[in-house]
Order: sequence, then structure tokens, then C-alpha cells
Amino acid sequence: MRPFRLTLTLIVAIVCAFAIAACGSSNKSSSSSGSSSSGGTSSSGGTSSTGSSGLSLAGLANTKPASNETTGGTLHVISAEGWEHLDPGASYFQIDYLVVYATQTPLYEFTPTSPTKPVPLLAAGPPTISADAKTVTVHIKHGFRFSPPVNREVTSKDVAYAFERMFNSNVQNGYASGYYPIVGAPTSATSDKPISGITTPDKYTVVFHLTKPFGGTFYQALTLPGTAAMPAGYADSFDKSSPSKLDSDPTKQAFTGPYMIQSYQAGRQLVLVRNPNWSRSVDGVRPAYADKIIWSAGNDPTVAARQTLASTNLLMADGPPNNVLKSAYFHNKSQLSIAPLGMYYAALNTTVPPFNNINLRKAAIAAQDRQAYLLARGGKLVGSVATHFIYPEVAGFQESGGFSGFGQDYVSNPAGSMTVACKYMKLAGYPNCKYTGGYGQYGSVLIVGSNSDPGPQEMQIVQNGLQKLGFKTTIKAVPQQTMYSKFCGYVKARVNVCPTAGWIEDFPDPYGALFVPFSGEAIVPVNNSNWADLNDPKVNKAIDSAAAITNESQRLQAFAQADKQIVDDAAAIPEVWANNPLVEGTKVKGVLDPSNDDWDLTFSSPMGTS
Amino acid sequence: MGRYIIRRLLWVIVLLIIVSIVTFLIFYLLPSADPAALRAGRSPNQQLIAAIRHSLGLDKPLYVQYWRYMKGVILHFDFGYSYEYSQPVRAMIVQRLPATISLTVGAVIIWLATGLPTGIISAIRSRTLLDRTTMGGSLLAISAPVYWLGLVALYLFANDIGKVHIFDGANTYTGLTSNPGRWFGSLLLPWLVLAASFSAFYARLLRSNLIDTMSEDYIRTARAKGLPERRVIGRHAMRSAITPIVTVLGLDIGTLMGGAILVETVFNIPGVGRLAYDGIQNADLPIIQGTVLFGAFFIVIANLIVDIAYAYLDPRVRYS
Repeated sequence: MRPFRLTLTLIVAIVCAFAIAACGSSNKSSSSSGSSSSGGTSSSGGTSSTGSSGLSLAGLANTKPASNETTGGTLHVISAEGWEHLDPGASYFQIDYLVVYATQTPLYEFTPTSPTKPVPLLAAGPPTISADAKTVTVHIKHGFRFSPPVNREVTSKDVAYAFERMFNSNVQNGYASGYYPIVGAPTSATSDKPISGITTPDKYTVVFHLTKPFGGTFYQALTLPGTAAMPAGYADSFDKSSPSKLDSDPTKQAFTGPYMIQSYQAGRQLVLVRNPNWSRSVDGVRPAYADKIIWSAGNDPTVAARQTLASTNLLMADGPPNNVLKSAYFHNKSQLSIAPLGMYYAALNTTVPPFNNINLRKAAIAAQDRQAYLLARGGKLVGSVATHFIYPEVAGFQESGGFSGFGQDYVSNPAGSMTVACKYMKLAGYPNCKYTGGYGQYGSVLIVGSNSDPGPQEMQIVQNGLQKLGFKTTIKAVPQQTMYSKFCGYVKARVNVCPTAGWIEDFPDPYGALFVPFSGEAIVPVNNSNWADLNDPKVNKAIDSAAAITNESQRLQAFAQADKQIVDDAAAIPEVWANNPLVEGTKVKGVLDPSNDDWDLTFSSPMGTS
Repeated sequence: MGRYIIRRLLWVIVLLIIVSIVTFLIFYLLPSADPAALRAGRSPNQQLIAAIRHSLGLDKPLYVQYWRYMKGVILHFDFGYSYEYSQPVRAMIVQRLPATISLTVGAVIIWLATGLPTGIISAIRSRTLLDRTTMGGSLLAISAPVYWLGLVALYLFANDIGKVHIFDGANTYTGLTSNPGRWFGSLLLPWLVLAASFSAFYARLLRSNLIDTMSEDYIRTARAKGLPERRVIGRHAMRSAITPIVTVLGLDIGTLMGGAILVETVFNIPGVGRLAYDGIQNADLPIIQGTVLFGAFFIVIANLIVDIAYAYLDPRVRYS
């Protein structure tokens, strides 16, 4: 027996050695997730400040543009996720935008130096919006040229074609019908014919005639990548195939941005090189420091994050896993930055029992420990407890009361309050503060969420809160895509609670934050994003009225009122205003694009600062 | 033998058709996401979803969709376009196949080169300290999940994030034709990680088979005839003991050619396995279907080769 025991001892020793080696480097730091009151971290800027959450932001990477950034070199980007669509007309995904904003030129763009006000990019200046907000005139810059093989100047007709192709089903744009209510725009989404509501009186002027007073919001939406000019005589042949060949082979595009796509392997690798026809002086906005950009996707997130922290020249385009994030906060803080990123909330279906009763919804919100959602997501580094639905990076946040919100009693205590919950249960007709009423088709409160982390924990949290009030609950965990496609986004499913849904605005404007998730006009039978099925005429009217206002401060005030009405309606449990923590190598100068909540490749420099 | 091979090849076709039908049905019967809705973005108008559904052929009855798909595969070797990436699936698989083949072949060589000698030595030195050490070690290697082992290997030995900088780490894969030296360096650690558990398993399997075989009468007869021990083991015992190994090897190679998902993920090797994983994540039926068919093809072909190899390895097996 002795040899066996010796061997066993040896084996145990080796196992321990491996286990210690595997865990040692990432678990030295304790969790930073506390349980204090709400508050948010804000985008860093190298400031020695403390976030409103109490989390120290001192020493985080300076991710604002610097005047002494060095030109040249190769910028290496790494990510776990791959790209979906690099055709500007089809692109509708955060990391796709990183590429498209570097390779194409939309009419306007939110830049690192102007995160909430659009900056003219292809446009020569702000648009002229008619008094009735139904006509928008844009003049474009002289001298912008398409890359080879097109090699000619961009004209207003190319902008018109960019809009036409967004309504072509071969391009498959996901937002044109919502944000561009242009007269004559096809509703069938099958046409690439000229749109009567777009006119080009001269080579450098485009006029958009809208079907409703929407000019102020239309202007904000002109920052989306689909507005990048496309040469009709060149692109239309590619757009005839389904899907458009400009998406299946994006190297075929005619580029107007600082970079061209040299090679592309879907989900694996992308190489960008300088566009010889792009001029910094004509552009006037994007410095485009790197000579070349090489992006490797499909990495394991933990490995990619550690590689980035160990490197000099890497930018990681998606957030590191929580264990690496916490380690980075304590050991590599100067390589860490935190950008705001949309919000998470638990939508309460307002059309079916029991949450078609507003007081029951308020009670359900009051009973929730919303700090637990934050902890489930990773603590204060990844966000702050939310109190309303215009989140920190969106214009109008301050008008909505900032981090404190509007002060409704059922959202004011982030740890939850059974006293307040009981008050609303009584108002709903349940004097014992326990629900004894009926349920809809499922016989209990159906909670559907993502089966990937932290979905199961979040479903458990909402269940705990509801059970305190006597609700019977059923949890159904499904893949994220299925959750949206077959349950929460499928109106007929009438799911009672969707606690793992999140929303990132399409552009940092309150319309983008509120319209699709909360306006009754945005409810669609399939792929619905108004998960609460909220169709309150007051909310609808408030959003529509705000969207029609062209005066910026009045507009933001109006959207704040819409936001308040949504909280008054208790359509959802505000969970977390999320952050997108990002890591970078020691030498690279990464610059954040606050509107896309990620790096801006044209402002980042692989060589750092001089 | 010729008729046997032809018969088996015909069965391969039948099997692949069955696999494709099952994959198709699973995709549509389970509550996976609607590809047209996914493609249409957030809150799209219904006309757009309908148009996309039409362009993807999803508005046709299931049997028509299946027929179109199979017609494309059989007549044009066309696996359709990825819903997610708008790329032809065939090109995506072909682009990734060299990496998967590289990973599989290298790992197979390593696990055979280490597992078989270990198994033989353990069998002939049964119940010694050497035997117990190697078998204990093999148990450890089998028990270590490949994903965990990959991460540990990286944190210990990778050039960038390792404690001891020995091997090229993740995300360094280079094609064989573009730079053979870098190709070898980038795959060395993944090969070792992938081969570890297989090598251990093969060693244990061979040891067990060999110990059983060594107690057979014909081995005793061979020894009684005065044959040297090396010849008894090499020519007589091994031929019998290795037959189950060949069976398992065929299946393992086939499975890995379908994609070593975890190793490809940890080391960011652009192989078929990771493509399949992405396809499942994104409810991307053409990719799922394409990679499943590829995997199934390799598995049945590997099995066919194994069956043919039997005839040469084991004199008792004849296909007539």
C-alpha cells in the first residue's frame, strides 16, 4: 500500500498546485460590490474623482482625446464577440459601429468631444429644420471622396441612395422605418426605388420631407451609420443580391471614412488600412492616428481580457468578465475605463393579470431589493441602481432628476420597502398585503429570462420580491435570443415579468431611450421591444410631443416629463444603469466614444501620447 | 471488400440525410429564435420581417425549405448563407477547416505517441510504482476538463499571460502555408492540452486490454514456443489489444474534425467547432446544419476507415 499512498499524495499535491495557479492571479482582490445606496459611476477621464456610487475613479485610464496623441503604428483590437453586419445600411450592433464609424462617414456623429450633440461629419453644418419640423435640409461638405475603385467625390445623390437602400429588403436595415418617416418611403421594405420625400436640388444639398413633425429627432438619427453615402451606380449592382454583397463581402464597399476594410473573415479577423482618398482636412473631425487596425474576434473573454492587460498595444472591444474586471480595478487601474451603457429593467406586463393593476405593479417594484440586481451583475463597477428610464449617458438625464430620479416612494429605496409595498397592496384591494387574486393564462406570474449569467440570479431576485407579497411564480430560463424572439418580444406570449431585458439607445437621445421600449406606438407583434406592453396615451403623447420640439432645452424637459409618466405608470422595475468597463494595453491610448459606449478607433492611438 | 465499401458509402449518404432531417426538425420544433426577427433588428415593422422571411425562404413550408436546402447541398455543395453573418456557409467552413485539421492531426499524433507506450509499459509493469504513477496521472488528466486545463496551461506557460513564458498562447494561430514555424508554435500548447485527456484515456484502455490479452492461451503458447517477450507483445498481444483502440480512435478523430469547440475557444483557433458554437448561440440554422453535416460526415467516414482497418489488424475479421 505504501507506493499507492505515495502516488496519491503526489497527485493531491499536483492538483493543489494547479488549482492555486489557476485561481491565484485573479482572486487576490476582494469584491468591490457593496450594498450601499444608488448612485452611478461615470465615464472616466483620468480625473481623480469619486463616482456617485462612492467608488473611487481616481487612477482610471484617461480615455478622453488628447492633443499630443501620436500618429502611426498598428492598432490591435481584440474581442470575444464577432461582427454581424459591416454594411453601413445593415449595421445595427455596438461593435459593428466601431468599424463602420471608422470606414464610413455618416452625415453627423456623436464624437468623444461632443457626446450628446451631433457633430457634422459628411454634413457641412447643422441641418436647417423648418418651423413645422417636417422639412430638414442638409448641406454636405465639398471634397469628400469615395475610396477605390469608385474614386470620385461624394454628392447629394449618394446620400439619397444611402436612404433608399435602407428600405431595400436585401440590405435589411433594422431602424429606418422607425427613425426616418420620410414622405414616399416604402412601407413594404422591398423597394430600392427613389423616395419622393428626398430631393437633391444641387450636388451638395439634400432635403428630407417628413410625414410628421419630427425634425429635431430626425436630426439626431442622422448620426446612424446608414446615412453614410453610397455611390448608386456602383452599389446598386451589389444590392440586387440577397443579402447585399456589400454586407457578405464588406471589402467591396466604397469607403468614405479614414479606413478601408482590407480583409474580413466573419467572426474571426478584420484588417483595416488607410483610405487613400480620405483627407483629414476635409473631414475635420476624426484624427485617424493608426496607420492600420487589426482586429481579432472570437476570443475567450477571460483570456482576451488578461492578454489585453498584459499587453502594450491591445484594446479590448468588449467588457472583461467580472473576475478580471475586479482584478484590473485593484491591480491595473490605469488600464481600465468605465463607459455608461444603457440600462436593465424588469418589464411588468401591463395588459394581463395581475400586473394590469397599477397598484400591484407599484407594490411589486417597492418590494424589490434592487441592489441585489446590481450585485448579480457584478457590483458598482458595472453600474448603479436605476430609478428611472433616461439613463446617465443620455441627454435629459439631469432633467429627469439625475441619479435620484423623480422621488416616487416605490422606487426611492433601492433596498426595497415592504411598508410601501403594503401601502400599494392595500390600494389594490389586498388589505393583508398578500395577493389572493387571479392570474392570466399561466396560472401564476410567469417570469421569463435569459439562462446565461446573471439571468438566473435576476429571475430569482424578482421571484423573491413577488413571493413576499404572496404572488405565485413560475420561472422559465431560456437562451437570450429565444427570450426576446419567442417570449418577451412576442406580444401574444403575454409574459408577466421579463427581468433580464436590457436597452441601449440607438443614439444618445431620450427619444432613443424611451420611444421603442415604452411607447404604445412602437408595439409590434414580433420582436416587440415594449416588453411591458405599455400603451398609455399620456406616455405616447408625451414622447411624440417631445420628439417634435426643436428647441433643445425644451425638448429635454419634455422628454423628462415622459420619463416621469413611465415611472408613474410603474411599467417596469428599474434595475441597473449599466456600465461598459473596458480594458486596454499599457502603451495604447484608447479613446472612448460615449455615444457607442465603446472605443473610438479613429481617435485612439496605438503609439500613445508623446 | 469492394462491395462492402460501396455498401457502406451508400449508407453514409442515408445517414447524412437522416442527420440533416433531425437537425432541421430540432431547430424548428424547439423554441429557438426566429431568424427573420433576429435579422430585422429591434422593433422592426412587420413588412420588413416578412420581406426578410421571404428572402431567406422561411415563408415556405418546412418540407420545401428542407428540399431547397438539400438540393443546394447535393447539386452545388451549397450550404446556404449564414443568417447572422450574411456569408456563404460553405466558404466559412472551408476557411476554418485547415485549423481544425491541424489541431486534430497534431493532437492525435501526440496522444498516440504518449498514450500507447504508457499503456504498454503500465501493462507489462503492472502493479509497480511506475504503473500506479502513470495510471494515477492519467486519471488526473482525464478528470481535468479541457477548458480548465487550457486556461491553466495559458496562465502557466503562455508567452504573454503565463508565469513561465514557454509557448505561444491564445490568439496566435497562423496558417501552415503562411508560416510553418509560427503554425507549429501556435498549436503546440493546444495540441498538448487537447491530447492530455485522450492520451490518458488511451493509456488506460490499452493497459486494460493488454493485461487481459496477456493472460490468453495463445500468448502462453507463444511464450512456450520460446518467442522473445518483445515479439510476443508486439506481434501477438498488441494486434488483439489494439482493436478497441482503433474503434475509439476513429470516433474521436471524426468528432474532433467536427470541431474541438472548447480548445478552439480557449486558444482562439479559427476552427469549425467555434463556428458551430457561434451558430447555436445565434440560432443560425445554415451554420448549425452545415457544421453538423460536416461533423457527421467525418464521423461516418472515420468509422468506415476503422472498419476497413479491422480487416488488416485482426485476422479473424473478413468482409466478404
